Amino acid sequence: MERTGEAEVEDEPSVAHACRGAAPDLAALYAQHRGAMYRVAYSTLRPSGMVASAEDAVSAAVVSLMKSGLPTNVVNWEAFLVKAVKRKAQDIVKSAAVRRAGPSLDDLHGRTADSDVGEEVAERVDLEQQISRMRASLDVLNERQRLVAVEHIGLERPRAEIAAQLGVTPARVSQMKLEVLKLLRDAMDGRRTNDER
Amino acid sequence: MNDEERERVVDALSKRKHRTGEVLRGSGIGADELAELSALADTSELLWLSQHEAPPLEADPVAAMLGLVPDQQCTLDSKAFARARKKAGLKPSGIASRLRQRGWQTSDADVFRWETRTAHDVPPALIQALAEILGRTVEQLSLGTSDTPEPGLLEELRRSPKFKELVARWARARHVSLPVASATLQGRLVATVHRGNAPDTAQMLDSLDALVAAVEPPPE
Repeated sequence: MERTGEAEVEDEPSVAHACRGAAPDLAALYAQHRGAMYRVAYSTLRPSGMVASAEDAVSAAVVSLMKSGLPTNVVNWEAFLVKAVKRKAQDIVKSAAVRRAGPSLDDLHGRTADSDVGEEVAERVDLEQQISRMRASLDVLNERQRLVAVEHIGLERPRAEIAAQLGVTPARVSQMKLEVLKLLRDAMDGRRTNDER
Repeated sequence: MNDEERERVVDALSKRKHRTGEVLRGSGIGADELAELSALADTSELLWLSQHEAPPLEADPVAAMLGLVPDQQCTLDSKAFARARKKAGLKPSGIASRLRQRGWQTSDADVFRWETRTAHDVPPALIQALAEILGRTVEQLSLGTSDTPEPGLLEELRRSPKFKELVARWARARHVSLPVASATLQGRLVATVHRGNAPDTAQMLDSLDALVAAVEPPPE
């Protein structure tokens, strides 16, 4: 099935059932792209400390698409779904910001509603490559460094807990964190150079 | 600037907190050091993202809502599927190809396996797709509802008239069969319980009602 254009994410049931039979199954698309969908929800919600709402953003996007139906002219389904989730996540942040009368949303996020789909696809591919390099780069760390990387930086386990587990001071964990980040940055640079050759 | 201060800057930059300016002001940080810390912040952000993934399928309520979680109440009947495929004049590769056109990542070997070995991993949404491809109903392709009761609360829910009404509404709204709708809504409940939420029966039914209402078309 060939796709020839770009479709915008709809919140209204406008294209709904007219397209039934031609568009792929939403369940199949979700099975394939849910990793990217959750990832964009996490990254969009993180600056506002609302990571716990990631599933709500993904769910809201899927329910919206269930109701509106899928369009048939989508070039890249991953980009389409990611965009749908990103908008829902931004809406969640915006609602919270309005409730708290916090800073303008535009100060926190670069809203990409009007950005080019090609650019978004390239960004997604680049991000996935970088994450893949990051996972591979963890191999350069020893066991203690890996604990700091995964548990403290990756999963945000408190510094005091990590310090207690390693038998070091919290200040030493801070030092280790910076060391770990430098090691990972250098390892990733090396892998990027290799990939580009 | 000591390591703890540098760490604070890296954290602020990686989380793109709106107070980054505050953190940097008065820190006496130079352009070179800022560039270095920004690079570390990017690394930190990437590491954080690499550790935040979608939940496992069986614990993902969205996957359950879409019928992606295999369910013993709605499993593919290997023999019935093989008969229907042959009657439709399709080879396993033809089925796999049609599924791929619908977005499923299915190989010829998968289809072959469903007929000859095990099909217990085929989720309700995929059975629905197979039924549509073969011009059959889900009931004709599945083993039917197991009489094995789900433990406790879920069984109580499954037997309630309200749940049956919700299943019927979901089936209409999503254009799926009743077994698929039932398995989907049960999967949603199980995923909710997996996540550690254990609301009572009424709360769970209310939550499902809200979900069903969200996907129903507006009244004429």
